This record gives sequence, structure tokens and C-alpha cells, in this order.
Amino acid sequence: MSEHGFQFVISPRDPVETLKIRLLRTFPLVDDGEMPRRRQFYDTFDWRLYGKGLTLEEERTEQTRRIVMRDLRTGAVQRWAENLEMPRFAEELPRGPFRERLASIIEMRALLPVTEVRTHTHQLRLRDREDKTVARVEIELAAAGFSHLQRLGKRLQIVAVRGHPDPANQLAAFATEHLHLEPASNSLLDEALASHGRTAQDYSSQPAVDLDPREPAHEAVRRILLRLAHTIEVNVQGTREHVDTEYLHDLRVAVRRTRSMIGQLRSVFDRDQLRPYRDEFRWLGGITGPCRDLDVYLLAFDDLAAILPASQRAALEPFRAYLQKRHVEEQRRLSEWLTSTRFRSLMSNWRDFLVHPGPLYESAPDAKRKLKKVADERIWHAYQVLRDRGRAIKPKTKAARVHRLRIHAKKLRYLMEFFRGIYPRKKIGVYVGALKRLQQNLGDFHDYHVQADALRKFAAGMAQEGPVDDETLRAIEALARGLGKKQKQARKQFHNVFDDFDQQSNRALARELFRPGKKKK
Amino acid sequence: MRILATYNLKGGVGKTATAINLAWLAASEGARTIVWDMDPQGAASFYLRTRPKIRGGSKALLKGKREVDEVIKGTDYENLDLLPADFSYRHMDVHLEDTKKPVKRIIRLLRPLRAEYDFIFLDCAPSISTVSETVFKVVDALLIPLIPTTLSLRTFQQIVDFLDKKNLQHVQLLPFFSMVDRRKRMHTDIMTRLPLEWPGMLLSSIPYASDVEKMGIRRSAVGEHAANSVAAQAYRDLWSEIKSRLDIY
Ligand SMILES: Nc1ncnc2c1ncn2[C@@H]1O[C@H](COP(=O)(O)OP(=O)(O)OP(=O)(O)O)[C@@H](O)[C@H]1O
Ligand SMILES: [Mg+2]
Repeated sequence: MSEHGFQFVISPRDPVETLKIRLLRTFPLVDDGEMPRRRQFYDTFDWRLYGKGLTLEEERTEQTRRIVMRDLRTGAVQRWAENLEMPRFAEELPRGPFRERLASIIEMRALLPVTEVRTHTHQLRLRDREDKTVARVEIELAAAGFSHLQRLGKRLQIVAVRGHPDPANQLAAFATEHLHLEPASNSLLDEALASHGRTAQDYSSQPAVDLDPREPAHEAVRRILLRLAHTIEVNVQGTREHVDTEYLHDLRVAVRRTRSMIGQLRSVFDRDQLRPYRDEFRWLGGITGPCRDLDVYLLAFDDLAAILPASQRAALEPFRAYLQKRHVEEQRRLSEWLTSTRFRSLMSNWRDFLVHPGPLYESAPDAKRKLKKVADERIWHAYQVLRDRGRAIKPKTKAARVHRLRIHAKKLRYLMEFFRGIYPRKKIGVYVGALKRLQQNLGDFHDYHVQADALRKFAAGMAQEGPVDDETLRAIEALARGLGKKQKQARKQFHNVFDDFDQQSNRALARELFRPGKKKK
Repeated sequence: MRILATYNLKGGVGKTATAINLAWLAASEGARTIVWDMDPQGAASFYLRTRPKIRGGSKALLKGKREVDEVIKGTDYENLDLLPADFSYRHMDVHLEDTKKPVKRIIRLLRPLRAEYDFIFLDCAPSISTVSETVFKVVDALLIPLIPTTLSLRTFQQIVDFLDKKNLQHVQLLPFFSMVDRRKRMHTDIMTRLPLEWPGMLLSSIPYASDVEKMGIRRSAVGEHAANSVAAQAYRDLWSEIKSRLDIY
């Protein structure tokens, strides 16, 4: 539940003391004194905490140091953990509620410092007849910045104690009517970020691009591709430094989306112009693969190991060490690729091309057609392929076909995500949901297969480097078989999952949303 | 999220004092904590300076007419909230028995609390009833204060027997000695004997101390009005031991 509270800005001309005296004269407030603090704010690269309406800070006073999670809007404290330094990953914290909560929000992402704020806070409390605190009032002076400090606005913060909204409301009314304070339009964190030219949520792995259904298709497509190029680029540094595993993941997803877009919307471009990029992005997809595969293994290692009986798990440790060693090697190689001229010229030429495609594209068949028309056609086509090939899969059909179906599902999904903005929000949301469930099943089927395969390959690689304990080899083989079993289950479930996807209501929805040439309502 | 109940079918053994002091400790360490005062007498609510009253009473709450969210009260301590008692809780059994599935009702009530809080302390009334039986089914552990007397050992055995009879042997029991007076021969005797018979017994104990009694006058946790006292230290030790039993920190 969100906190009930208010934040006001105090004009620079209003002295804090006068304000405090006026409050103390009007309300029976307890003065809890003043508190100077240094507060270093942290969040993940993709602002997961901010996105949940929270802030996380390492807060130091003269005597204490703690990690505090607050409500972004009111600044009310939600949770804290004492005598700890900010961890890089949630799992570095001692087991307990704080870690559980943090992990559920940031998952595998690293915490990065975003800004530092020094505050000097006057703390007041309002009590009721039972002598119970029912509202907390803070007057806060703040300055932001790591090295040279920049003064921020003064704030008055009023937070209701839960179940006691009235006293806080009265305080807020007094602040508005008698102290003539304006409500704060942003949070302390936002203001601090702005003071050094940043904004929160400047990165999201699912960036939205504004689209107009009537604009020429090539313009929209180029904008989307530029956005994807940006996503690739902002993830390069974090990938090279291996800050956490999500940079590479997001980078790879952006590459795959780019490739899918190039393939499925080639009709808005000149083919010859596009060809070198198609090849180069395939190369980029290839060189980023090995590292990601190892990331996936290492992240899932404990879960995977849980397939085995506890007695066999210890035998896997040399295998973990081997994977870690391989990861270091692959990481170094990848890092070099990402600074290579080949990569850099790919990205700069690609950007150039997207911004100034030259006159050639004008002869491309779909370039100047309306976006909605082209999108409908492409999506409808991708949908029909998926539907027909899906229906053709019987319990005896070869696995390779099921794997190919996964690609078709992904193609459709990407198209729908690219052009989501031009379709009715709710309906496309429902349809994406249905497709997601199918993809989950196909993804499982594929992943178990690939993982089992890779396990055996890794084991072979490990054996080449030196003698491997039999126990370890047996454990790896048992793991691969366990995965094989899971893969069979996924295959069994496929038919039901596909029937669900292909049910009457979803078919009608697909027709309504995408079928080209349908009548306008 | 963990649910802990202070329970004993014997009255006046320190259940409420324990619930309040441990909840206060959990909150002061930064965990979001709530005490659900399930005793119609409302002692826990009193300590937390909140009127023991719920609009519509326990009936409205159990029947889903009122959301838990609307009746939760904050306290003087950041991070420590209270679900107050209500005099109608004395009929809670009846209301629960009325409803087809008492356990489901309570679980439904607890659902939003689980999502929000790290620790939920249930301060139970001293009885064996539908309410307490339901509590046994939802808790992670039962904290059982025992005064080291022969009589209270018998009540402990009764609790164990009851849980056996109801097929609830899996409930984690964390008994500990409460209101210990080391000058009393019987206390020290029992305290050396029982942990041998009952290895699950917590090693920390709470002494008989006027600072605990003062909670009623000061209306605050011992750690607040007597931070450096023996009793405050005893609660801190008890809390760390409980946490390590629950495999946290
Ligand atoms: N360790 C202690 N030392 C001294 N007095 C104590 C101690 N623990 C509790 N008391 C006092 O004993 C009385 C009963 O304690 P408390 O209310 O905690 O027990 P209870 O088991 O919850 O009782 P009830 O069964 O009535 O709910 C209270 O007046 C309390 O102040
Ligand atoms: Mg009690």
C-alpha cells in the first residue's frame, strides 16, 4: 500500500526557523531535533526500484550507517538494514527480509550509484490524546552532487502514521493555506538528478517509440531501428565491464530485434543497401552468443543442480569452476570485439544509413505506404505462418519443426511489439499475453534441448583439458538426462498450449486486429 | 515473510510482553512488522497506544465486509503496525465456526499482510479454540513462554498433545522460559532439567523484571524505556536466537 503523505517546496526566502515556529505554535508538535545525513542513492541500470516507486540509499549520520528503502513520492521510510554497506547484488546481503524484498525487485541486476544528497533535517512529530505519534513532519535542506555540491530546494514533508490520515491532512491544509507552500512537483531524488543533468528512467529495455498509423512505413521503421541501435550502444559498456548479466542480455535482444526487423521489413528498404547490415548483425549475434550461454548456465546453476539428488550435487562443483573459467575467456574475447573497428563502424554506418538512407529506398515497394497497412500485412502473414505450421505439428512430428515454430512465434511477437502503439492497447495486450504463453512452452522445449546438448559439449571440453572425476561426469550426464525428461514434458504439453492459443476467441481477435483489408468500424 | 504467534493456553505468562518486545526489535532493525492483537482484552493494542476497536468488529473483518487495509494502525515506531483488538473477538470463534472454512478465512485476511510485511506477530488469547487451531495452521513458528513451574510444564505437554491429536506435529515449537526468578529453587531446577528432555527449547530466557511490568505504565517496549536493562538484553538475545532458528540473518 502506498504511503499517505505530502511534500511541499519551501521558497528560498522563507527561513526554516520561522516556519518551524509557526508550526510549533499551531500544532502540539514534539521537536525531535535536527539530523544531518549523507545519502547515496542507488538503483539498477534500468531503474527497477524507481519504477516501483521506491528509492534505495546508503544513509550515514555521525554515528550510524544503514541501507534504507523509501517511498519515492513521500520519502517515508519503508525498510532498512543496519550497519551494512550497499551491496552490488542482492545476494550479497545477509539472508533476511531486506534481502528477500530487494531481490524480488532487482533480481540479477547490479546496484549502481546514481547520486549523492546531503540533507539537514528538522524532525517533528504530532501526537494524539493517547500520546501516540500520528504524523511525522520533516523540514529538509538538501544539496546534491558527488564532488561539488549544488544546493537543492528546501522541502516540507508530512507523512501520516497509518490509519490516522486526519492529522496529516490538517497539517497539509495549514501548509497550503497559512504557510502558502506549493506542493512539490518532483521527488528529492528527481531534483538531485536534474541538478547534474540526469533524469530517472533514462533507460528501459522496452523503449516506446511514438508511431502514427498513417505515416510512411519507412519512417516508422527507421525510428524503431534507431531506437534499437541506441539500446545496443548504451549496453556496450556494462557488457564489457560485466557489471551484471542483463547488459549483454538486453544488447542481444536488441540485436535480435534489429535482425528480425531487417528480415521482416526488408520491403521498405533497398535490398542491396541493406545486405551488408544483415550480415554484420548476424556476426554480432554470433559473437555475443557464447558469453550469454555461459551467463545463463551460471545464473541457473543452483536451480539446475537441484534436479540432482543432494548427494550428487557436490560433484558438479568442478564443472561450475570450469564454466566460470570459460566465462572469463569468452568475456575477454567479447570485450575485445566490442571495441573493434568492425563493431564500431557497423554501428556508426548503420546509424548513418538510418538517418540518411539516400534516395534509393524510394523505389522499395513498401517504403511510402502507410504504416498501418504494412504492419497489418506483415503481422497477418507472420500469424498465418505460425498458425498453419502449429496446426501441422502432431505428436510424432520431428523436433526440428517444433524448434522452427519457436522462431515463427518470435517473429510474430517482435512485429507485434514494434508496432504495438498503433493498435488498441487492451486488445493487443490480451493477444500478446496469449502468444507469450505459447512462446513460454516453445522456449522451454528449446532451452532444455539446447542446455542438455551444451552440457555434454562442455563436459567433453572439460575432459580435453585434463582428467575429470567420474563422479563429475556422471553428475553432468544425470543433469542432461534430467533436462531431456523436462523437454519431453514440455513437448507433451505443447498440444494443449497450442490449442489454447488457437482457440476461437484468439482467432477472432487476431482477425479483428490484423487482417488486412477489413472494413473499418 | 514469517508469521510468528505467541501462544500458551495458560494466561499471564508473558505472551503479550513477548509479542510487543520482539515485534519492536524486528521493526527497529528495519523490517516491516505488524502485530495482530487477537485477544479481546486488547493488551497489545494498549501497549501500542491504540484503541482496541475495529469498525464493524471481528465479524465485518472475517466476513470480508471490511478490508484489513482499512483497520491497520501505525504506531509510534516507524515500521511497526498494529491490527488492533476488538472486544468482539471474544465471539471470533463463533464467527469462525459460522463460516464454513475458518482456516481459509484467516488465510484470506493474512494475504495482504503477507505481501506487505516481513514479520507478522499474532498475539493470541490464552485458550484452545477454533481461533488458536487456525493460528497453528498458518504460523511458521509458535513462540511459547513458559514459567518454570511444574504446572506450566504440564500445560506445555497439553499443547504438544493437542497438536499431535490434530496432526499438526510439523508446527515449529519454540518454547522458552519467561518470568524467570533465579532466587526460586523450583525455577532453577526446572531450567536445568527441561532442556535435556526437550532439546528444541530455546536457550534464551526472560527474567522476571520490573522493567517489563513498566511497559503498562510507559506504554512502550522495554528496549524503548529501558534500553540498557537486563530485560531488554534478554529480549534481544531471544530475538537473535529465534531468527537463527528461522534461518535468517
Ligand atoms: N518478564 C516479566 N517480568 C515481570 N513482569 C512480567 C514479565 N512478563 C510479563 N509480565 C507482566 O505480567 C503480566 C502478564 O503478562 P502478559 O500480558 O505479557 O502475559 P500474557 O500471557 O499475554 O497474559 P494473558 O494470558 O492475559 O494474555 C503483565 O502485567 C506483565 O506486565
Ligand atoms: Mg496477552
